[in-house]
Amino acid sequence: MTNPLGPRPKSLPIAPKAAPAKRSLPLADEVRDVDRQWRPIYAVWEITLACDLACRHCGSRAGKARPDELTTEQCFDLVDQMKDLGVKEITLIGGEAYLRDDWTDIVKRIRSLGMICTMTSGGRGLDLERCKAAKEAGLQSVSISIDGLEANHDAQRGVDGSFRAALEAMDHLRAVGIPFSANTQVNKINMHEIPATFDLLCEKGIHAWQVQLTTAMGRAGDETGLLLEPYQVLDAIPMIAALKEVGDARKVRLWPGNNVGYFGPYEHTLRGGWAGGHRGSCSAGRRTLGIEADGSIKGCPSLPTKDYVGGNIRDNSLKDIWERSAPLRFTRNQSLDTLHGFCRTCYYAEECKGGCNWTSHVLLGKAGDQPYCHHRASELLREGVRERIQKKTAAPGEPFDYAIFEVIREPWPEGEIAAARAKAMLDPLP
Amino acid sequence: MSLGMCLDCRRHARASELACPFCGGTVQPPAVRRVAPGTALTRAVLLGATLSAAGCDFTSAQPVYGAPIPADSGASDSGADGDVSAQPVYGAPLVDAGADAAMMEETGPMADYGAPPPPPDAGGDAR
Repeated sequence: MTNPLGPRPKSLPIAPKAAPAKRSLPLADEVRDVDRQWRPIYAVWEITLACDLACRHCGSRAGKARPDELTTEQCFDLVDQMKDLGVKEITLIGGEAYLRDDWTDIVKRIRSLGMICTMTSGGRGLDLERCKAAKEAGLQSVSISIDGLEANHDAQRGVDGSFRAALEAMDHLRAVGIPFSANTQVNKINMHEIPATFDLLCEKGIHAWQVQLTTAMGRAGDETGLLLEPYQVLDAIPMIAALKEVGDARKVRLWPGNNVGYFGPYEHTLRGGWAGGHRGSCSAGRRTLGIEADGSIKGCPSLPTKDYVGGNIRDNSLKDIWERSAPLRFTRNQSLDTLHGFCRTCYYAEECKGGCNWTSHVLLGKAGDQPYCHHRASELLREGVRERIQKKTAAPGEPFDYAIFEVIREPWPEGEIAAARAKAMLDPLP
Repeated sequence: MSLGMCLDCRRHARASELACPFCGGTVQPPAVRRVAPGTALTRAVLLGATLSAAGCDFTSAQPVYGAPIPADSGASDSGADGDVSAQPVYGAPLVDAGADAAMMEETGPMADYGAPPPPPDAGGDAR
């Protein structure tokens, strides 16, 4: 069968060796009230960058372990520090977390301190033995990454058989009594089969489904033909909202990712049950914490290393990095002045503050203007225009790197605009 | 900025608007969905894994963990130290003078490389 992605780009190594961690980064002298006010409740921890898949969209270009990944004792100490800082829940990721020999010891440590522990996995090597060990250690849920139906998934994961392995992983998890969820990226090549994918996942027995848009970081930024155009959120968001209602009926919780949204007529469907009733602004460095396997600390696991690592756990305490590093403070410091482009004058600027900083930064080279937004796309549609992306500069080929794109505005094709308006619910409902 | 929802086009609009700026419809003021003081702030709490009262016309919010928990059951969400006295988003506001302003702003951390929280019956007590 023809690979829907075409041949893999040859210009960059599939799995580059990560650079050593940035060390001895500066910290502010003073802790402000606002820095004390915010505490992470959720941490996502890449415990190794080693991976047994070769995903075409991998933002971290995972494959080889980092040169200086934390030792077991250093991991235990970090767990203790997360507990002290107020973390309630930790998701272990990679690469592939189970490729660390001590991964279940880390799970046990987390659970021994009363924190929730889950894992995200591609599932390729999540055999029955590993699942039994995970259950024994106290792992409470695993999110298996599924990127479409079999052919599409295998093409995106870069390994034939990975789809079947992932579904078998779900069977193993069920057999040992670990609940499992799924996470799916939405992009150009799989959008048409997302409903069928969700249906399959519901049949497999997932308890939740996290969905997000493929984001232009790492290998995803290398690929042509993978990333949605910004105007395509006008198709993607209604589809996801419709699936939310399907999920509700089937008792499967849908968790819209941070770059799924924003506002528009579907926000109340997607997030009406959230504490604010709608999406707010990025919680990196306020409620979330991201950790790289070498001890680098960020406000969110997705954010690019180059711009958002605030310190290293080998040099400073987690508390000091959290409170006193500029990269961890950036959302605490966010204001309308940090926005630009459409987002700067958007009706929802105060609430949204440019949406997902990761998505915008790795697309445009800086955060604060997020084109993947339903409200934005529909307001531009009122004016008869739409946005698409065009790559200007290729990524250098390092983990968590990014290319630079520009956003092009163009008129909506005449034959498509009426249908687009109807789907965007630009006219009042009868 | 406090956002309500337009009853016609279902977009969020500022509660101060006299009419929806997108379609001219009526803007329903928001209810203040708060987390009670003393409640352990977890993702489950922020992401709506709590009560959602029946009868609300304007939201499809459903209790994330199944049927609504009766108000007098004493049950709490996973990890919480106390009851969560959440109200439906578009219903009557809580009388809750002690609510933390920071929590009011919060709409839930969902790091994209993370995972949904486990269901409430997963894993039991900490080892």
